Order: sequence, then C-alpha cells, then structure tokens
Amino acid sequence: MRMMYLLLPLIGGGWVGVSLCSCDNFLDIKPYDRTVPETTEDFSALVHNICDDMDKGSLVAGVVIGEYGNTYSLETVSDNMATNLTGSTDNLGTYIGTDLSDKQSVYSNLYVQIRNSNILLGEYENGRDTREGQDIVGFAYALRGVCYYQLLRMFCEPPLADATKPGVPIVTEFDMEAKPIRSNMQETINQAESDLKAALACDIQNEMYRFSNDVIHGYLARLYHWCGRWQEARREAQLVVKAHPLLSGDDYVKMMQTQFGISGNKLLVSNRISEYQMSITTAMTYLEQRPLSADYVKLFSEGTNDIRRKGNLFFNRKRKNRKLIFSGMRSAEMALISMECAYHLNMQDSALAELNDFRRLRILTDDYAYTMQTLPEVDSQTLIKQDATGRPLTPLIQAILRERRKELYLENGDRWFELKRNGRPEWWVAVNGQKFWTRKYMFTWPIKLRDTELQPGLIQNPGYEETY
Amino acid sequence: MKMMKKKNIPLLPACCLCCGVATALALSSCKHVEDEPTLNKGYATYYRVPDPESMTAEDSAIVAAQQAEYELNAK
Repeated sequence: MRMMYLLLPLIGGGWVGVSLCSCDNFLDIKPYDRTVPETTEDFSALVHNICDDMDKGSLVAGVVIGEYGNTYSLETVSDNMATNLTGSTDNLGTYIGTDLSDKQSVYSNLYVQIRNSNILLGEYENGRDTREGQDIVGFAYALRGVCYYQLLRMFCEPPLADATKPGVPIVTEFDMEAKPIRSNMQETINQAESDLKAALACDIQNEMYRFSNDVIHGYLARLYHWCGRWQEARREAQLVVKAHPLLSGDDYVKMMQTQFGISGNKLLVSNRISEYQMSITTAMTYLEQRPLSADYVKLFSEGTNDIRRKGNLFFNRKRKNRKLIFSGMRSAEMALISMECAYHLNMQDSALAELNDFRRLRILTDDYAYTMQTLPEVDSQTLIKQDATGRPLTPLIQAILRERRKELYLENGDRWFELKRNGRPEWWVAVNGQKFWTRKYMFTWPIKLRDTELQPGLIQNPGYEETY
Repeated sequence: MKMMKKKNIPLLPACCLCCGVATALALSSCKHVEDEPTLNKGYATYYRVPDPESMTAEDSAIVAAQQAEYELNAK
C-alpha cells in the first residue's frame, strides 16, 4: 500500500505530461478522415461540391454569384422600396447600417472560395492538359476572378470616383501563414481581369461548371463597366447579347416567371434547385409588406403598356412586389451595359438607338422610341444626380439608367450598386420616429475586423473606426 | 500521505483528484491557446454605426405626405 502511495505522484505527473502532449499534438495533426486530392476525379469532385453549394444558395459559395438572401436584403435597403411606408420592419431591412457588420462574413466567404481556387490551381498537377483538366483549371480561374470582382465592388471605393484608394489583399497561393496587406485598386482590377482571361483561355466545355465562355464574357463586361473601361465593356457585353438575344412578349414573361434553372436568356442562376423553395417563398411574402417607392413606380410612365407592368409582372396596383427574386446573369443587363458604354464613348446616336431597341421589346405600343428631343427632362428630385464619371446627368444617360433601374429591380442588388457607382447619394428613412441615414461611406463595406487585428498593416475602410 | 491515511481517504478518490488536476491543467492549456487574441475570443466583432437622429416636424411632414400619396394612388 505504501508503495502505491509513493507511486501516485509519479502516475499523476505522467498523466499531466501525457495530457499536455496530447493537446500539443492536437494542434499539429492534420484534419482526420480527409483525402488529399490528387487525381482529376478528386479535383473534379471539389468543383462539383462548390457548384452544388451554389445551386443550393449556401452562404459560403452562393456569395460568388450572389445568393437570393443577399439580393433580397440589398433591395430592401435601396431606394426602390418605400421604407417610410412600412409598418413592421421585423423581416425587412431598415437601412444598410444594420447589415454592415454582417458584411464581414461576405468578405470571409469570398476568400474561402479564393482559397478553394488556389488549392485547385496549386495542387492539381497530373491531368491538367486533358479536356476535363482544362475545365477544372478554367473553373478555378473563373471562380477566383469573380471573387475579386465581387470584392472590388463591395469592399473598395468605386474606381471612377477615386482610383487611388486601396484594393483588397491579393492571395494567389494557398499559404496558411501568409498575411497579405491590401493591394492598390489597379492591382485588384488586374487580378480579376487576368483570372477571367485565363479562364477564357481554358475554354470550359463542361456545362456543369457554370462558367461558360459566355458567362465569363459577361463578368468581364461587368468588371470593365464597373471600372469605366467603356470600350472593352461594350465589346464583351455585345458578345453575350449576340449569343443570347433579348426576348419579348410571352417568351420574356415566361422567363421572368421561372424561378429555378436556366431559362430564356439567363446565362447563370444562383439557387438553381428547388430545395430552398420555402425560404424564397417566405422572402417573397416579406417583400409584400413593403410597397415599392413612388420614385420607382413613376418610371413606368406607359403604365400597363409596359410588359413589366402588364398582368402585374413586376408589381401590382398597390405597389406590392410580384417579381421573382433573381441572382445570376441575363442578357438584358448586357444590353444596358452596352448602351451606357456607347453614351460614355460619345456615341450618342448608337446609345439612343440601342435604348430604343430595348424599349421596343418592353413597351407594347408603337410610341416606344425616344428622340433626342423627346427624352424626359432630368429629374432633380431623384437620388442619382450624376453619372459614373461624376458629370451631371443628361436626358439620355438618365433614360438609360432609368431603364436599367426598371429592368433589373430585385436582381443581384443592382440598384444598390448603381447608387454606389453613380455618386453614392445619401438619404434617410424613417422608422419609429427616428431617421436612419445611409451615408456615403456605407457603400464601401468593412473588411473583416479579425483580419485587421491579425495584420496591423491591413487598412480598414473609412468610417469603421468604432467597434464593440 | 499520513494525513490521507489518518482521514481514511480511499485510494480511488486520490486517483480521481490527481487525474482531475491533470485534466484541468490540460484543458486550461488548450483554453489558453484558444484565448489568444489571434482567435478573437472576447474581442470586438461588430462595427458601430451612427445613432439614428430624431425626426423634426419637417421630416414628419415629408413622411406624412408620402403616406398620403400612397393612400391616394395605390390603395
């Protein structure tokens, strides 16, 4: 017995040692039961997994294309909806200020996908030259390019407003120890552009991989349009429209009433499967609680002679939403990009002709066409008072931006980014006797707080000095 | 040891005590790692936005006019 008591401290000490070693080992051990991808099949499975998440609209992968939740929340904080008329705001955003901290997860989730791309590009060796291999590599480049494009427009200032402001950290290799600081704006643009062009060079053939050549041309059009590279944006946009012509009449209505899957001239759709039908239906129900703003509704001056109003396709007479939420890409956006680019390239006649071509497909009467003389006068009461270059609106650019606002309502949060691109106007909404201001700095969202703590050289965007 | 014997403390609880201390030490060691600032435990997570402003009579009139316009044209 005495021997046992003597051994007790030794046993105890040993146990402490073993426990501490165990803890240390835990930190060193790689994840269990995971396969390190090596073959084309392994990497293909990774791509399929990411695509599957996009189809389901998961918060992590859905953010690449723009899952429906983001589209919904951005629409409710833009000026397309009349927050001042809403009795209850439990399920609807009040203004962007209440969502800003949540944007940190958007930032993280985009870098999760950049990490996935870097793993694919860095680790995949045997089989890259095969058809399937090129599809995988092309997917990885496209995914990374789209992520940098999204980071650029969400977490950086508008390039045309101030190109000297920082871009985002550029990460092109999987390295857990790396702590990059922010690049400059041009480097971020260059990264998105080179990735998208590298994806094009791979000529992706697998339709399951989402990023077809036309989709990549569409993203290049978006990128150049955002940066004010009008010539290139116009060229890319026209390629897409040529391959996926605009629709009119019943074909247009049918496309707009199709919630899931690719239809009409939709090139890309988030949440492609009906697994989330219930949550989308719920979101649509919530949207009915808030009328559309008078400022938006008055743009439909042709009333029900506009196909978007006929049969309450977009909204009913009570200004309640009837349009389906859409996140993805379709040809109408490309046509609108093209005509705006023509305007900025001083091709006024082409811009007007393209605007009229577009209106011919939407207005059901013969008087759809504007002339330079009949374009509506500039409205001094609306939020956007300048174009993307900072110049005051003219009747023609106002008509183009209005057409875009009408057509792309409830799609990809387009109005929010249009407000950002065209002057970042400030406005307030009233809720429970208080005024909530959307300030200029709020258009550029905060990068992840934890990252700024880890890396002192990582500069936060202005306006986000106070934390809690 | 004598004290333990005097109080007639059985062997098993002594082992438990020993293991308990060891486990507590091990866990506190792990917790120490998790609590490093790099993992952001207990640190700020949110960005503060400006407080809302009180509405003036003029602001209320604007909202009332919007509601009246809606009642007139959309109801």
